[in-house]
Amino acid sequence: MNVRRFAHLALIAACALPCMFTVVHAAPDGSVRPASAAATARTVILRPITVAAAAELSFGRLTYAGNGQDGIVILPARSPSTRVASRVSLLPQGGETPLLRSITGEPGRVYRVAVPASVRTSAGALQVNAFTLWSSTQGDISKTRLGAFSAKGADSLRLGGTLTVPKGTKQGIYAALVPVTISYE
Amino acid sequence: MRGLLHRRADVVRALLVVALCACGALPRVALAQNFTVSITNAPALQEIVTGTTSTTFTVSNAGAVTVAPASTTAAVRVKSGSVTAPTLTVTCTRQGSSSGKDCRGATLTVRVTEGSASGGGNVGAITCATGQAQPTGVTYTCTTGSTSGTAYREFVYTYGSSASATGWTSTIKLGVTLIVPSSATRGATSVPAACTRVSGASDSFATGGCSTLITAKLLRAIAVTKTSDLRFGTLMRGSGSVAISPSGTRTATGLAAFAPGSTASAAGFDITGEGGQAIGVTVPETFTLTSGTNTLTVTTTDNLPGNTSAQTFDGSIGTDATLSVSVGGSLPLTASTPSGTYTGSFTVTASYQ
Repeated sequence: MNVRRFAHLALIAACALPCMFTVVHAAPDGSVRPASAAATARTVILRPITVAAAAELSFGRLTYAGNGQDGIVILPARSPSTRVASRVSLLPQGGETPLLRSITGEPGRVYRVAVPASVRTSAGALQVNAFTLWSSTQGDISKTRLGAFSAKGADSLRLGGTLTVPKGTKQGIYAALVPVTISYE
Repeated sequence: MRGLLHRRADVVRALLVVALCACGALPRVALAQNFTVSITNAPALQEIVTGTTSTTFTVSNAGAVTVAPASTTAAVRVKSGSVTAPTLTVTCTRQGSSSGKDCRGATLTVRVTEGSASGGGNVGAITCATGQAQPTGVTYTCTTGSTSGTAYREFVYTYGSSASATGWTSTIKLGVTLIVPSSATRGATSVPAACTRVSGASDSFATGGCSTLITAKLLRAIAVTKTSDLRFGTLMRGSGSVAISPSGTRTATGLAAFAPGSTASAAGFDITGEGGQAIGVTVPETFTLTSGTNTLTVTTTDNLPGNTSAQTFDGSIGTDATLSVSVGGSLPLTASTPSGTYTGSFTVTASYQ
């Protein structure tokens, strides 16, 4: 190593030492403190609800039997769904049945049933209202409209109603399609 | 005869003067110099976030910055690292070329007075810095004093017979402090200085650029406040995904679905700070929801334009500003995603840039 190179290295070393010293001691002036806040996130994952239609609402075969006032037919949701009538003759072999739905969903979860206030029958456009609801797990849910899935995630829903039969209604089978919406509560 | 006597007396007087000068009995006439004094390289501490504790930033004459107290409630610099040290420069130049009027053989006392900082109302202090190399024949001392409650430092320069006759330049790196009280007014601030001659150098003394010791920009502390949480509501699993936009709009794809009647919302945060300042916001790209041993990964979306790390508060310095951040997210689901209540959390962070 010649003298010039030695002097050059010595100069670099002499420079490097104070430079390192400065960097090390510059740290105490700190750095900016960030600010932060946390938010929570939440979701509930459920088994999708399935609805299988087993029967549509039908008041069976009947005919008006009054003397001017409207007649009515009540078909209960609860089994046995035996028809009760006023000013109406109930005839056999009409296949009367409440609306029946087999539904599945999250075990133990409560579901809500939504039905319209009234519908019209397919034949004759007779009014059907005053719907009643029966859950195999909860019983009569006509007022609450809240059912629940069993531990296995299933339930059977029955829907009955009241048919208004005006004077002049001809003999026939009167059924109605009732839109039923089931959703998690 | 009389004229001859006068001529002899003149010669004697002339010889006497020469003799006195030769033996040093007469003082050297050395007061006809030009002096200039300046302070340059005022350190810029740049942005300082004010704290709830009065904080002192000290710049050493090497430019290193230290802060005291080391407390989380103290003010803090946005950008760390060394700065320049203010430099006191005194230059002497000989006035003309005649002998005897040069930069040797006298003293000069310069007083540097600290002032109240503009803007922030803070007071700096100058640290005496002794032992720094000076031109040949020049030495200095540094003393502390105060007058009428105003602190000052006096630098006494002695330039002896070995100093350069034609001129010399003295530089002294000063240390300086900036005190940032908790009540500091936000905005640009600078600590002024004044350089005056106390004694010496009666011929010519001028100051230039001798006004600023240190500068900084005081900022309101930044804060992040959560205003709402992220809610996906009740979902029905299926192959697909659900998403909540930053504006709260929910969408579902595939067989995944929101349960009718369930509500969803995006998370919200308010970031407050100093108007007009650049900030960086950090929103995690993903985070995890858990339900027992089951997990779901949420991919976040936010309403910030461009890069979240390059945002700017509205307004200008000296005004409060708020940046509202909304965070939504998407969640992939499958037909076999386990049922359950999934919860998690994520953090939004903001800091000045």
